Amino acid sequence: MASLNVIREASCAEGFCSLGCIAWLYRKIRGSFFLIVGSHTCQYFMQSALSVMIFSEPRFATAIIEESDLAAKTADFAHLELDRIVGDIVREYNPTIIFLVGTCPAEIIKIDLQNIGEMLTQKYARPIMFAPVSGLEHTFTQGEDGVLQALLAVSPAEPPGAARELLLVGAVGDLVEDEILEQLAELEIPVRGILPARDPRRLPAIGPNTVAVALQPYLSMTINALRRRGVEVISCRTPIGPTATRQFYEAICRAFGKEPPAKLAALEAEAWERIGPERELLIGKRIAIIGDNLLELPIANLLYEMGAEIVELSTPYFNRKAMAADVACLPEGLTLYEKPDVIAQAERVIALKPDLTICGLGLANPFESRGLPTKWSIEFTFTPIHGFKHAKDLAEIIARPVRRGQLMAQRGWYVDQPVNTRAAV
Amino acid sequence: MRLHYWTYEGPAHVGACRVGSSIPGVHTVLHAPGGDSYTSVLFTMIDRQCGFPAVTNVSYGRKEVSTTGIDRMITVVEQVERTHQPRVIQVIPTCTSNLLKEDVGGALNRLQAQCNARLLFLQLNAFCEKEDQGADMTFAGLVEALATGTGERTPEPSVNILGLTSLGFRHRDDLREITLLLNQCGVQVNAALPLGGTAADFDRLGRAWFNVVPYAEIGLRAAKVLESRFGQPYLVHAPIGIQATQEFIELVQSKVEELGGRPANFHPRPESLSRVPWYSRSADSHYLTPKRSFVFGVASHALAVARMMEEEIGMRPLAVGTFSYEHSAAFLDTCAQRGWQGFYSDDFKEVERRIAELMPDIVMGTQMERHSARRHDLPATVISCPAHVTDFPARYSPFAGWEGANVIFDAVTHTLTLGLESHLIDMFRELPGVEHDSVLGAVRLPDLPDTPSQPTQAAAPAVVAGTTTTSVATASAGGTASGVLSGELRWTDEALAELKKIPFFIRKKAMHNTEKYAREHGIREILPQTIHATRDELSRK
Repeated sequence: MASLNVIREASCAEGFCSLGCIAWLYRKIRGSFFLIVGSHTCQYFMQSALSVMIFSEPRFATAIIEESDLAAKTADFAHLELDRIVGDIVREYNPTIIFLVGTCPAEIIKIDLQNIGEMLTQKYARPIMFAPVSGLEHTFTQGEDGVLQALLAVSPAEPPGAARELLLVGAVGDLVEDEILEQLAELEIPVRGILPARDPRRLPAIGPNTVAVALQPYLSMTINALRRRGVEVISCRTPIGPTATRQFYEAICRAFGKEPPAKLAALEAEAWERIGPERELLIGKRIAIIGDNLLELPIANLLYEMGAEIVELSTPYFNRKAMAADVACLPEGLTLYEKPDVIAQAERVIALKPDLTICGLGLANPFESRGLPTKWSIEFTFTPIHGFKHAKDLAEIIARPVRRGQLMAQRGWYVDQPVNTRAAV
Repeated sequence: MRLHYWTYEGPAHVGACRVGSSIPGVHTVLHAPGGDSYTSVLFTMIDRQCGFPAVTNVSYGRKEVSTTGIDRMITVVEQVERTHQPRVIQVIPTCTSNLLKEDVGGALNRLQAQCNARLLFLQLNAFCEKEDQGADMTFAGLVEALATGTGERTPEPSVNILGLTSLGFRHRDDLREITLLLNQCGVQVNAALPLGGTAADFDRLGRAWFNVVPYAEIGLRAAKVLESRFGQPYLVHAPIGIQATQEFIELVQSKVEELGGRPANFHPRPESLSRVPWYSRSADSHYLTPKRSFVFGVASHALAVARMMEEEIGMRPLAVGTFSYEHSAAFLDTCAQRGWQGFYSDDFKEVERRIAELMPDIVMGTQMERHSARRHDLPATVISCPAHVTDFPARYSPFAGWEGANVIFDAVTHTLTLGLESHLIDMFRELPGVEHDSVLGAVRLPDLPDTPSQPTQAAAPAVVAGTTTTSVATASAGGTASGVLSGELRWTDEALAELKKIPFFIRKKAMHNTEKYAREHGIREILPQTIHATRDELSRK
């Protein structure tokens, strides 16, 4: 186990609200509808931060709490209002499942979405589930943790004597999902299903003969909920990058009492070979990883394995237990800032002059204007990066700004003054 | 509660951040939970600002909500003062903080004694106010607190330009263009705020002879504060379009004279300063004459652009709408006076329904109308916020003044030309063996499947979903009857053949009109005669 020095700054970290998870989950969970119960602020986040403009099939919307709702002072105003709105949604879209997505304001005015969801489930004869995704407690990708818990509440119990099977936990792109399922079939691992299932009417059964493995490192609450239902959980690295992916499959093989086949090592070697050019580019490069989507540790591991040096590492939320396997591979003596002080960190990064900074959307341009190449961490959330095949896509994403940075550096055009806000007459 | 899929304006605190981040020396502290820290992304991503945005989020969590939220806010304010040493720190609550019964103002008052920065608490109500109003109120609050100068007038005529902000629609370039106009009138700009000034400029606001508010949505409240404090009069006038620019120049000069200044006697011939008077008159523009426009946007821009379309470009607006609630009454009055069909709506779906009903030749709206128009195969151009990255072009591209008129003229004519090109591509697509899979594929006509049995292409649902005809499915797939289903209406094969005889560039419109006629007359199956009857009825109108 690497000695990881963790500094909790609990400061004004910049990151996306956990509502952001809806951006990928509404596509993943077919026939679902995400009804955010919140304010204009929540609604505006969804549309602006995620550049959501076109609605050929609107599958999420915000029930905006208005002044009159706050003045209502009746205990059941929220129930009546949501009943009306859910009724409209059911008539218009007929979703198979509706998530009542909790937010900061809904939490503060104590709207009992759990209870309302139960009542509406009865009335509309379909699961209408409370998903706790409030930005008071969670950060960006952790929103998925809340939604998966809601799904778990409707997952059936395993019948007695069910076969021991693998449950994959975490939303990944369909391409990645198919590739992983193929690989598992080849390894002859029996698979129960995936949470979230593409079809929410066919959720995997959960029970003591379920063996769960996480595809994403930010699902600790869901994993704990699974444990409470008797599920055995495999602790292993997040399958991002060739080595981590091999170790992921090996851990699964062992959990099912199989000796990992030598073929896995061959697949790993092939994947490394494919990303040879990117690896060459990144060897010895100094990289700051200050992302906001909780994939920072797996990405740091991959970059370390590619020969880069991690000069700054932070994450909005760190759970040592859930990330134990990823932590174990980190280089010795690294410092991890949890919920870093964004101002101090920016100054540190500027002084470090890394060759690449992986950061949130809001910080990229300020760093670029100072001549520091950046990569938006959010791209790791929206691009398929898991598994052997997609390691190449991942390596390319990371290498691109370094290549571009080299090109731009030749021009020497750096601007560290916000010139475009000033009038030049 | 009201269900929203998309809104034209952001919440009030976004407006406050737009004001704060326009002024170097002002730092905004958002008193908000961690989830609200996305605001700064807007500035660096959309506006491509280089600096770290002068916005810091308090990012309180669940534990702090009921107990130590205020303490955390104070710690953050102290840290911002230490790190950035701003002249002003404005503390802005978001919706969650509105719900907490905290005495933020009181806490800041106590903290003020230990701070060099001026601390301001601007109480916005996120549950009623929206982005523009939030910006207007924030700016007025800053002026109220900081415009403390003597009010001694500058020796030469000067004005303040009030209300342009970061993330404003073309505000960056409008500032330069409006400054140019004022200089042509012999007037200096004493200060420009929020955009174009610094925190130090508040002190000198009182020295200007009068104030100019180009766009009434932001800046009007601040102008009123200055009027009552220094007796400064103000002008509210959007110089968008040739005549509006001329009027702006006349208004400024007569105000200077009224206040005892020497008249500059600047009475320019618009032809010498903008190409619009000539281009609009040139034979190339004759084709614009029968065309009709649809205008929608923030109140100031929608009114000014509608007038320009009607009087200077010659494309009468079929309807003129706005999402600016605060200015909607005056907006609707102006529309009524000009004989326009005016409307207020903050629901983009309603705006799209109106577009679909009217089927104008060009849609001038926000980014959302650009998408809506595309679904109806109509040319569109953007004339209003909300901010989008394409509204911050690399080139100089104002909306105000002489150059602004040129920019708008080009936007209209280029959009229409592109619209025609997309039809041409469509026409050639109908030739056998010619496949076009360009980006314009997204705007292809959804009307005539050449091979009715072919499954719908991937792009088709998106196109079809937005049209008034809710779904076009090939009936022959079901094997019951020939023809094409369009919602509850059926187009017979004969009617489709007749439709194909109509020139491609008005075919979509003919289809729309025929369906409208059929619905009005209770016809469920469209025959060639239905098309003829529609034409007859329209020609009688």
